[in-house]
Amino acid sequence: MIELKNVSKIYKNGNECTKAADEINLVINEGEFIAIMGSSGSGKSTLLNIIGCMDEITSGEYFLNNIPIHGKKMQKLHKIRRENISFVFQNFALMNHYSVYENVEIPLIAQNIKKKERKRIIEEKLKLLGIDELKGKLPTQISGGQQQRCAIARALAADNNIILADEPTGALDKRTGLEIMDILISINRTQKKTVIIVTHDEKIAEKADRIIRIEDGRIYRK
Amino acid sequence: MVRGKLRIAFGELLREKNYGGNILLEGVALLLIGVLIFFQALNDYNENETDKILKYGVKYTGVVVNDSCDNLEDLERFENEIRNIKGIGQVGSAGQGSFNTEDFKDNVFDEIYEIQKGHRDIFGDLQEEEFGNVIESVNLVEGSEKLFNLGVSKGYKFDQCNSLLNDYDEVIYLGSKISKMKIGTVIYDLINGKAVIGGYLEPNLRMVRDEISDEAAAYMNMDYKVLIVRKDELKNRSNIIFAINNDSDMNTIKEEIYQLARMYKVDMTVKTYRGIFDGIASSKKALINLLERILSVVLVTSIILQICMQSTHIIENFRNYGILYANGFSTADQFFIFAVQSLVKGIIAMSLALGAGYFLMDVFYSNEVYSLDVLYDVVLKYVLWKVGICAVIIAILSVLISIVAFKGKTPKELVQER
Repeated sequence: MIELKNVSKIYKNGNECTKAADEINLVINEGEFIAIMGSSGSGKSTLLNIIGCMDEITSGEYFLNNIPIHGKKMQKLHKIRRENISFVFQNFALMNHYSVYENVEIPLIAQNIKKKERKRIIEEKLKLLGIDELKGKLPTQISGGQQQRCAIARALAADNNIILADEPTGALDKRTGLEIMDILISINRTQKKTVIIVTHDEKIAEKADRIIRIEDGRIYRK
Repeated sequence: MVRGKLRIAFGELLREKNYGGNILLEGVALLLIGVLIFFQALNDYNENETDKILKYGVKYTGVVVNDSCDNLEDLERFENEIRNIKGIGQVGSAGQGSFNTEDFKDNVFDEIYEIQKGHRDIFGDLQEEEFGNVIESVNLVEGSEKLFNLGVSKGYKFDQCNSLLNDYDEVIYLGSKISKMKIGTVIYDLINGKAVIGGYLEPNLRMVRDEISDEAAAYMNMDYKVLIVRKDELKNRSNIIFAINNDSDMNTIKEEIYQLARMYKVDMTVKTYRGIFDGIASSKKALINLLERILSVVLVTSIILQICMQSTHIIENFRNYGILYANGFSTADQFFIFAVQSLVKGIIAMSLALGAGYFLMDVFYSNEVYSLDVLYDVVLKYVLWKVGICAVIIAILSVLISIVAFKGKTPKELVQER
């Protein structure tokens, strides 16, 4: 379970302060499919990064499965990420000089999984996403949709309960974007993983169990 | 996890754009450091190795060189008086020599000559053509062995050879690599009389050369040489080696020897081993100062370029490191990866530097000046570990740069880097 209590995030730029998240209160239960919507600069990516322990909060409390995250240094949060959270980014965030196979392998190396087991998991996930024939290819040699499938395979390989996707269809055409969304929905339904996506597309958001609307760093409809 | 991190470290390293240039630059910097240390080390090496050979050490041993005195009576009185100077610990003589195999009856040394022929570091084939089969030796006056750390692996120890000299005119010791003759074999030196094979010298035994300069190693390896102990008197020798007790003052004793020389009208120069090495060091000082200035500029420039290249690499790869963060790698993991990369680059650079250094030694030095095994010894004992420390410092600097570069950057910011 994800619980945020009065969470704020302030960015300081010289004398200027920007409140990217403002007194956010939010509870997300296990197995939910959540869409976070808002206009550009509304703070939706900031919220996602806070949930994903990729950014520190300025004030408030954040509990992940009842573990207090607030107050922990960024350097200590890698373990939380490694064991609980996987990411899918808009720009796919693949290592361009690693093959599809090697990209999916990264979180498994972080989790200290042995080579034989890694191979089994990677091949299973690549097959699930329909890209097992591309395992030796570099990201620059495959399409955007295939790259995003690779990113999702990497997220699934880690076997974490929470998948955070920041505009996962933003760099894709409509048809491919819908395919990716179907994959994420399937993961949520069949594997009971909590999926939180950030999107500005209403049609994409409608597929979620719940839509959280955010504007100027504040949630105004859950 | 460690193997996985190492895989990522090596993978990233091989894919680094300026990988080759970076390593080459570091290799050149390390080579330059090595060259500078080498020139400084050569004299230190000579002095330290000589110190090990002399029982009283470099500080307490000196040489009296006979410049031009031929009067044997004056020389005899002079020599006796040196022994009586207060503070003198030991007096003797040792010098490089040679003899023709034909000087010995039955050509007993022919086989040894053939072995020695392949290992001459100074004499060339000229010997064979002009002088016949010449064997290199070191000649000691009886009792002089007390000035040097000489060891016998088999046969009569040096304190025993004194009694042998009651029956024989010479006691001959063979180097460890030419020990072909039985201990106790009696042979005849047609010039000096009856000789006996006293034993074999310890392997890798060394003796000090007659002339010490910056042009060659200060010592000789005795593995392939013959050491002859004779009853000759000091007055027949061109130099007298003396050692003082460690509570005596060398300058005072030097002055006393000069006074004696004046008294007995013998023309002598008194040197100390300490003074000889100090003289070599100061004569090379101008060269070393110049080298230091040139190399310091080149070195600092190389290190700055190295830092810039490392910084560029890190900035160009922020995104990749952000991806690793997002997938569960910690800051410590990142720095481990950097440290491994830096160390690997350092090891490769150091290997390149050593290879180039050995090539340079091979080109610029020959066996007539320094044998290669001496040069390698200098590199191993003085240069290698210091260059290694420099490589480690460069590696640490590289990691520190990465710490500074990553400071304050959240994984979110890193992933969003282009």
